[in-house]
Amino acid sequence: MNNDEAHAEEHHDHHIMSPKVLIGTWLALMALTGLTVAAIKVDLGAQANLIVAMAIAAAKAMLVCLIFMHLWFDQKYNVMVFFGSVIFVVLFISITFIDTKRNVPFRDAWDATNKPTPEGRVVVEPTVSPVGTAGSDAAAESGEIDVPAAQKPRVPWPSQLPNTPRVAPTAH
Amino acid sequence: MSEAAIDADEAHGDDDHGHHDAPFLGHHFKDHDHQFNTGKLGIWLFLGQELLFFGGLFCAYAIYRGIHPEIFIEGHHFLDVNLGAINTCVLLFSSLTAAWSVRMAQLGNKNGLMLMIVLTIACAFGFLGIKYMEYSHKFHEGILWGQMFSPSADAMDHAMQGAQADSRLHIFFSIYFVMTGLHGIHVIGGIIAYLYLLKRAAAGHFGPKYYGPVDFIALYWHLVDLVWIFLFPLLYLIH
Repeated sequence: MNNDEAHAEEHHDHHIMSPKVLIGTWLALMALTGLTVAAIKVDLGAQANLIVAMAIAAAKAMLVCLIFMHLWFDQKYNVMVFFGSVIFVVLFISITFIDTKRNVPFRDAWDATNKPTPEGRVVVEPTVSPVGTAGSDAAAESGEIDVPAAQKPRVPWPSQLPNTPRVAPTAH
Repeated sequence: MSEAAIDADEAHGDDDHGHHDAPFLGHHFKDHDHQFNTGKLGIWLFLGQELLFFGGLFCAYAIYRGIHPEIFIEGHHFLDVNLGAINTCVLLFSSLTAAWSVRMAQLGNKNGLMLMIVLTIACAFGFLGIKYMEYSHKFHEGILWGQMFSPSADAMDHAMQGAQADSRLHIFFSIYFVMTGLHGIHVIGGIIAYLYLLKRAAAGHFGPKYYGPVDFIALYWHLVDLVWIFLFPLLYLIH
């Protein structure tokens, strides 16, 4: 460590990261990335897999925040600003979730009247005749959803309402 | 002009250009520390709002995944985990070079600083290149958002392995394209910011006393990395 660096490190505001810390943090981040890819292949159940993935992401985020963004060494009001935002994002999502649960009956009611097939599913067969939403079957059967011959066969999709002009996907 | 304003002007005359030895120290700042801390608070406030801004999208994601977990399981089969993982590594490496660029500026190492900035820009382009590969494949196969969703039978068979797809699958791709697209726009913004930084670094503007812009842009770049750290498992790694 040269003199400049030693001097600067005494100073609260001008903390210089040592190469060891920087590379160590990066290696830890890479290892955690490998871990999260490996962990998803282990069947822990949908819930547990999601929690593990989010825990690893949170650990990576903390490493980036505290060391790369040097929040650990920073003024406390900067920490407050950032984690204040984090708290509000968490509140935002949590409170919205309370409302989402209340909407489930409405969603089910909508589903009951809009299911394209009895199972609510589309059969993956390019040859299947286009399935429209309720009330649009006639239009679909008359072949209004037509696929340009030059394009690959497409799977008919209920989100494409037959009475709206279909925008052809860009080729490239 | 009011009397007070004239007084202020006159008072300025004495010392506003007083930082002769420090061309980048604003005359309204007492010293470099004052200027640095002010800028730092500013960038943290900006990052705080960025977090809230992305928070809205993460909220939409959470709600849809809560209501329709099955479309996320099906949707992620259309994405290439390897490309996502490579992109994660590219961004993590660019975060390392961004953090290192701050160190170089603090040590007054001009060439080191420029090298780190160039590496960061290169990684950003690498990230966008891989993203372009992913996007162009999806455009080609008609795997698009909302009403544009019109998957080719090939892509559908490949991802679903002959199983039936949920009729709401297009919602996954609306979320996928908005979240990764907005993140991609931030990467482009980062490239522009780093090009500006490269120009100033080449002119020798930065040193141990004045390196605020290097630090602030690195902080922004780390936030872009942070967002991807969450996007990767949420979109590509679903069980």
